[in-house]
Amino acid sequence: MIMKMTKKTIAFILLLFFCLSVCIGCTGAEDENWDMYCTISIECSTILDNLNSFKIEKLDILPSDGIILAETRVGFREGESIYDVLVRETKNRGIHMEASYTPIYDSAYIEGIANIYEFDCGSASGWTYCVNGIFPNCGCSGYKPANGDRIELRYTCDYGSDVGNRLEGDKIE
Amino acid sequence: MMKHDAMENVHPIVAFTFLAFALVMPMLFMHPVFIIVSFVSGLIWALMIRGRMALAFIFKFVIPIILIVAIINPIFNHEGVTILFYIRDNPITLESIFYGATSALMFGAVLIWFSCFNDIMKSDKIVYLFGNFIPSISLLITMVLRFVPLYRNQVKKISVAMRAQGFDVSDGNLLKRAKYGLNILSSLITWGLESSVITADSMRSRGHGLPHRTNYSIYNFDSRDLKISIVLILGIVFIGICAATKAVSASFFPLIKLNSWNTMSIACALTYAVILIIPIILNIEEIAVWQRLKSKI
Repeated sequence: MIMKMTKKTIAFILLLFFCLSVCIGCTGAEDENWDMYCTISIECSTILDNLNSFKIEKLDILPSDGIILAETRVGFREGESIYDVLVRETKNRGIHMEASYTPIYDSAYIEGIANIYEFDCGSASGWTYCVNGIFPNCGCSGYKPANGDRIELRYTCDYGSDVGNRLEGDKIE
Repeated sequence: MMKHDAMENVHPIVAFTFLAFALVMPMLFMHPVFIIVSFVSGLIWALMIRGRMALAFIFKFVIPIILIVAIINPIFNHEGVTILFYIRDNPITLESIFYGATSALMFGAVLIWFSCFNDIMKSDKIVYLFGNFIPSISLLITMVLRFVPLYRNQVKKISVAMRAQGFDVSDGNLLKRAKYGLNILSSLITWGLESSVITADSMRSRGHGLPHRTNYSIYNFDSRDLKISIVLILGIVFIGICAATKAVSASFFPLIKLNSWNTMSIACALTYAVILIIPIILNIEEIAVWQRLKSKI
């Protein structure tokens, strides 16, 4: 009986520690010895042009100028992908972000940022990203940015054509 | 097992309308206040109908389902503005937890109301209600539903008989047990075929399928049924108006927005509560009448 009790207690304490470490790991400030720097911006101004197809219940959280995160210089380490940078920066700034991981593509997919989700502004809407104005043909967890890159996360309401990404799927380099 | 309930004597049309309303309402209208009202009133009525059996049903079945639904939702749904903490890069939000809890309670309420539905709407009432415009389907449904308890009882009988002969299904190694189990199955199938032939013969000899037959029913629409249906119809219309004019509304994402509580929305919630406690009122009324009659003697 006593053995059982102690086992349970130990398990409980371990669980507590686990939870605590997870929490601390989330909120703890990271040391800032960055290898490289890039700029990142998040914006959804295309919604402002398509307000009538935007979900009514989300109008309250839509920024009036469409800018969720203005262009900001952020540091990152060698080997980190855009997804890693995005996760860290949104977490640090308290910006909501949801992503899912698809093993078959080995890629993360950004479902929503700041509670603005894919398909919230019509069936052709969702998040895209571009680096130095070019839209890469891979998921953001597969793209390793270089020093000084300008990363933009842009919300499209028309498969990317309204943010400057003409669908040129056949011309993969 | 099941106590007598006042709702059993209510006219089937009225009882069915009431139960359908109580079942559908939480699913159509996910408002936390309405869900709680539905859950509590359903719980009280279920306890009145079945007593301890209802408690067992709730603790073994309803509460685990509620917990599972409430936990699963925030794990898979990360929408919401209030971020509490992160699990594997995805935020757990207050809105999602709240929505999970509400939908879990809704699930529980529907389960409880459905158990009440099954206790009140017995097969004779279903046939009475639907026998006229979908006669074969309602007969089929009642017969199919009857098979479940029927076969279960028969399996019990067969296994008891086999145990008496020394072939116990709960004893011996896997091979032996499977063999005994197959024995039970084979005798069950034989019995099932035979009993369905007997049922068919019996139905034919009683004139099933002949034209110009009417159904015998012992239900009459009395003044109490009239009162209940007036309350029901007025209440449903009023709640419908309230929902249409957004006097009561609830949205959970991206931020929780419930209606502000003015006279209309409070009246709507009260109407909902009054409708749902109809069976409880009927039961209390019956007890009161009985006490009064008893004291006169």
